[in-house]
Amino acid sequence: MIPPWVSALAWRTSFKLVGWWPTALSGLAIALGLAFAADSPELLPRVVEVIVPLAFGAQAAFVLAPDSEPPLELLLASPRPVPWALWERLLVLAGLQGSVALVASVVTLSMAPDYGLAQVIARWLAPSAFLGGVAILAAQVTRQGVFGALLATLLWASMLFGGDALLSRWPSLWPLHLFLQPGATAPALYAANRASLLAAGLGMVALAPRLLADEERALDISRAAERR
Amino acid sequence: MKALLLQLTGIAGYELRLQWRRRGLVVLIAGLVLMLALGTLFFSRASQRYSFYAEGAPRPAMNQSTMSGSWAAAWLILALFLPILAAETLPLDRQYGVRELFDSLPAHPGIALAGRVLGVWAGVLAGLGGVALADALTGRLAHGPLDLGRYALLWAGSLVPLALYLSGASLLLAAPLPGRRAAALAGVLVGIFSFYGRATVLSMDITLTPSRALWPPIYLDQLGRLLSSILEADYRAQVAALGIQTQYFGPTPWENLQPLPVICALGPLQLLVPWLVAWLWLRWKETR
Repeated sequence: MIPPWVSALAWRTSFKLVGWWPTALSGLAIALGLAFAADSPELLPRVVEVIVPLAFGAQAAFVLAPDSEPPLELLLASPRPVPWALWERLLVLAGLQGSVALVASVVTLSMAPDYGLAQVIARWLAPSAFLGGVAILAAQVTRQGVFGALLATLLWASMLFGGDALLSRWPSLWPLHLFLQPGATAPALYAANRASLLAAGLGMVALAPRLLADEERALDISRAAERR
Repeated sequence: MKALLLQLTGIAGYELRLQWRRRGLVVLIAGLVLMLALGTLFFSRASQRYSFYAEGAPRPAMNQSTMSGSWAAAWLILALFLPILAAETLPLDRQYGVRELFDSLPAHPGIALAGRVLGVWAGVLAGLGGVALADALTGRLAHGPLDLGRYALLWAGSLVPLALYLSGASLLLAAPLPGRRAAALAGVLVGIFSFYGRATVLSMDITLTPSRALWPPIYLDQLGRLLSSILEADYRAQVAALGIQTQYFGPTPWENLQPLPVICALGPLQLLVPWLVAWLWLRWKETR
């Protein structure tokens, strides 16, 4: 017996709108990365850690960006609350990218058994949640998915190439380092870093649907009135 | 000829206005001004050259941006921001429902495409001009007089070609894509491809082999190295004239770099490939 609220969900449409090819692309990139890093066990866990957060962040920006959603007015007029659509698409995206990341984590462990599964998952889960949160919130604030993708990409690159330099100059910024390495700091600090990133990311994700629920804001009515 | 030019400038003007209204250029300019100003005011303190100056030695007429290291930050912003911004230019027409309108214009699709690219380039150049002025002003206030000739050379030879190349290539490669999301993701890939190539692989080896010449970031890398080497040689000459010893070892001496004409020819040649892709796609679409 399927509960009535389950049938009210539009998983198939969400899957169609999220699309399979970006997930296939990140899967391919991970496979290539693992193949190239096969001879360097210290690099293996970094492959999933680097690719999945970027793929998730860049895609999350477009799950339901008001300016990139032509039927938004129709969605707002329907009995189903619009934030549902956002949650559904986000969960589908998390499911797709998360599955690829989990499979890649298991493959990584089979290639480099010294790492624990929890550690390999913590490496990509926390930055993915943070970048996803940043992307989706920026997309709702600016109404344009492209700004969410821009911010996520910029944060990803600056933390990947300059995160360690940032910490060496300002050590108190440790909660912000997306790619902090487990061996580079005390285990408690590393756990706190992962927890803070996860909490901040989930907080931003939770805030985004609230912005979308504001119909005037979503349709840009107040700004349009100001311009007139 | 005059009608052709009018069509071209008309479409370019339309694209420039569209870019400005989408606020992307404004965000890019603000991000660059902020990053270069922060680099000038704060990060330059970590530079070896800065500590050399802090010892009380007379300061050679040297560009502040090169010594502060903020140039790398500007590269990061441009390489990652601009391709995403430019990529959605043509797919956006389909979302706004003006694609058919463009197709019905008397202008040839090739002219329309060139006009759109020129419009984006005009916006990027105007934005970078503003950023350069703001950066020069900050540098003047923070570090004293600048060598404006060298400063202009640095912009004209490194960040400007980078910006033109990335925005043009990204716009053209994303032309056949169906929507904004696909275009933005393609822009992310172009940006990472260029940035990662410059940041890691190319830093290890500067030899310009025929196969490596096909790889777009190599043009930007070679050009950047050439310019910084000229500036470095200038810097060394000034330091030597002052009779001061410095421990800082700058970029590769320019004599080891590839010949300038080869470097300058590579960029436009590499831009021809995406241009051909976009043009063939437009032709195919026209005959469908």
